[in-house]
Amino acid sequence: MAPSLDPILEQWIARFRGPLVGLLASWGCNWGEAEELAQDTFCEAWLSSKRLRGSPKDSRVVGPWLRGIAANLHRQKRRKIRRLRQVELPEEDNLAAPIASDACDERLDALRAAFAELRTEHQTVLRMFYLDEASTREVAALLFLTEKAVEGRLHQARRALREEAQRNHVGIAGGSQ
Amino acid sequence: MTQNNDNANGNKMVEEQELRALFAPRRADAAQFSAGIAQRLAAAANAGDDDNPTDTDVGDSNASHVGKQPLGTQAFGKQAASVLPGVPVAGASGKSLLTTLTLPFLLLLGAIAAFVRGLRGVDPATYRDQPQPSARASKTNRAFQVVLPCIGSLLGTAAIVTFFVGGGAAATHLITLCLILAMLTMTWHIGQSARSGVSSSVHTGRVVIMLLLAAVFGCWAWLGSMIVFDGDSAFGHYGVGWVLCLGTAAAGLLIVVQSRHLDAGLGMILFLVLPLLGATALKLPSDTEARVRSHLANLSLDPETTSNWSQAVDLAQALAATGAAPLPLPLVRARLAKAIIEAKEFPPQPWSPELAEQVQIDADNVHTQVWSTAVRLNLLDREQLQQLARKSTTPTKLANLLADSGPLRLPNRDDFLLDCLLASRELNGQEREHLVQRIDRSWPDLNENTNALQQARGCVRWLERLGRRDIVWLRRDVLHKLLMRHWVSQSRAASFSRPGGFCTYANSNSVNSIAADISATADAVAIIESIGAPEQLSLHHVRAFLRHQVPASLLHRVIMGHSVLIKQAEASLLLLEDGIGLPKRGWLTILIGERMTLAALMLVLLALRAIRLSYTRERALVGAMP
Repeated sequence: MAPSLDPILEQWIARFRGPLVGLLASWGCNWGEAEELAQDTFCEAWLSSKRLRGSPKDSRVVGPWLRGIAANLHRQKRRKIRRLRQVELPEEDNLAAPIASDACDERLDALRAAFAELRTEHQTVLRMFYLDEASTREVAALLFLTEKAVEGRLHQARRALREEAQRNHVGIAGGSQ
Repeated sequence: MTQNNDNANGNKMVEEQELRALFAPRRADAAQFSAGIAQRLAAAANAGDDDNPTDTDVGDSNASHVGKQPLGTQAFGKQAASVLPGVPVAGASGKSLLTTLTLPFLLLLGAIAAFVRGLRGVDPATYRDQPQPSARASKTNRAFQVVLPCIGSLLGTAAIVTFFVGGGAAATHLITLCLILAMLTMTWHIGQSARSGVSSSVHTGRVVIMLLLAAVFGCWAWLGSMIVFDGDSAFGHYGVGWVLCLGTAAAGLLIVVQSRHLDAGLGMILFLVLPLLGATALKLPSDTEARVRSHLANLSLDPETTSNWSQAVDLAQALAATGAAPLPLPLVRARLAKAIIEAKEFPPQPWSPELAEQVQIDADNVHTQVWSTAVRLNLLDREQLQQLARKSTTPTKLANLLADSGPLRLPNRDDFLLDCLLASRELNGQEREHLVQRIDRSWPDLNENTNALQQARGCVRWLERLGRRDIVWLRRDVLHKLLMRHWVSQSRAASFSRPGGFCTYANSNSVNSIAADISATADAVAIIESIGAPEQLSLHHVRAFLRHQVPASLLHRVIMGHSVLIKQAEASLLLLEDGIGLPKRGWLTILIGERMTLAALMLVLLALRAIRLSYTRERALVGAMP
């Protein structure tokens, strides 16, 4: 059984887990690495929380704080990888890598292929928002954007995703009608 | 909120459930995730605080940068002020000679250094492993994006203020400095954004386009062409306009090509704003000689009116200086021949009130100035000149020309008299010497406030017609003094006026008090064609003045292209460039002269590189796929 965490930290994790993992995945990590780095980030943030300026319950304060720490940890990890002369970008998360549970679902395959064609900013916002239960407030705080901007970007991203999927001649109309 | 919007647009977008299902396999288990954090915290507690990576703290980076401030803002401002031209630094003496000599060179070096720095600096990959910027730097970066739309107007205002304080040359320095700062700012912004992790191709493209537009408006379009004086540049201020406008268009197209997407704002800039700017202020390529020939051919030259005739002389002289064959103008020739035939004959007789009255009554319809111009345009042959010498009051005037001994009023409306005299009979040595002495007494007095350039031009022409170029050459120093007295250098030009040309009345030697005009400049250029230019006089500056008088853009040509003065300026420009020729310069001087255009070119190249790299790096960075 896991040891209990401080309620404030629990609150941070509940709000930012999905968006933060999604953000780290957008920076070139694979999903496993992104999850590990997100855990490191929460840990470091909590250990240095005395330096946090502002209310720890305010997402607009905590979001940039977490992002700054995540960026530094990600950078350190990249340096370490380079020093060890390891391959920087893993190959396991490319388009060809199917997900076992969804392999038979043609519609999701079509979406997956279309997702790869999206602009980076659209991919990022979709990862952050739909990976887990997240609100636009936390996504906005991590991206230094307003909530309105995030909503707009989500809207554009979903529309672009559908257009890409249709362009690839894969019918997903059933899902949206 | 998003759910409602999604429902409203459900037929255009992917369903939320599908997206959640897409990412579901990648979702972390909440309990395991929290457990992992708890384990890390426990491990950290056991290991103590020594291993805490405090460099991850955003707040700490502020303190580390404070000590690196090398120079206070105030001190920097003082240093900057000391090298700004036109701003008095030591007493009332203004800028030092050293400053004047080195500032353009320093600006050229600065532009090259900023460009070289930016070549690597605009690559987001350079900053991948660098620490997060300080909170202050991030704040400044965000503030920069807020003020970016206003920078163009601020730059334009600053250029006008600089023009007031230091003149057109100072505005040139300021604009070059602004272009250098634009390069540095672009590099800095991309670096800060990349280090913050907020860099994206869309963001970079937007900032680069806005920065280029700020340069277009601030450094060029917004009164820039009126206030900038770039006397040493071969391309002139229009070179900057072309580079920036084409560069902005190229940057916009590159974004469209790279992103395969055209948003409304960018489309408006590409297809509406830039063409409009181009029509307003971009210099159109043109063949000056062909245009001057066209002006002369289309000039309305009616023998019964005096309009346009004086300007026709400059057009013809410019064409003759370039070696072009004189225009036949058959219609004008026919009209002049008819006027000569219709003119009444008067026997030569002493001038008297009765004769004056008779002449007044019986005068022919052609003004003497028309005859003078027709002679200069080679529209009258020797036989016609001989006829003219017998017609109207010409015989009396020819007799007076040789009988009187006072100074001639040159150039006067009877300028053709000498040609008539030379055509009608062979002058003996005594008569020629008499005429030379009269011309000698007609030279303008440097101390008198007269239209001296025009007078000197007339004297030079008459002496050359009499074959006495030796006397003109002996007068060379005096003529050079006269040219320098009427030349409007940068230090003498009045506020809001353009230096480089010549003024009609050099009645003041004080600073910033006189303005050049086209007619005086045309006279001066004609004199320079005969005797050459004084060493201190910059012909490149004269060219810059004349070039500015000629409407170059499409809109200006439509509005002002029919002005006679503009045609005169274009003729003088042709005479200066093709007839006289500009002194050759070394490559370093040329580079320094073109520093503004070069800085604009480097800014555009950096902008294009920044856009290209932002897309390339973004594509190279493959995020995890669902």
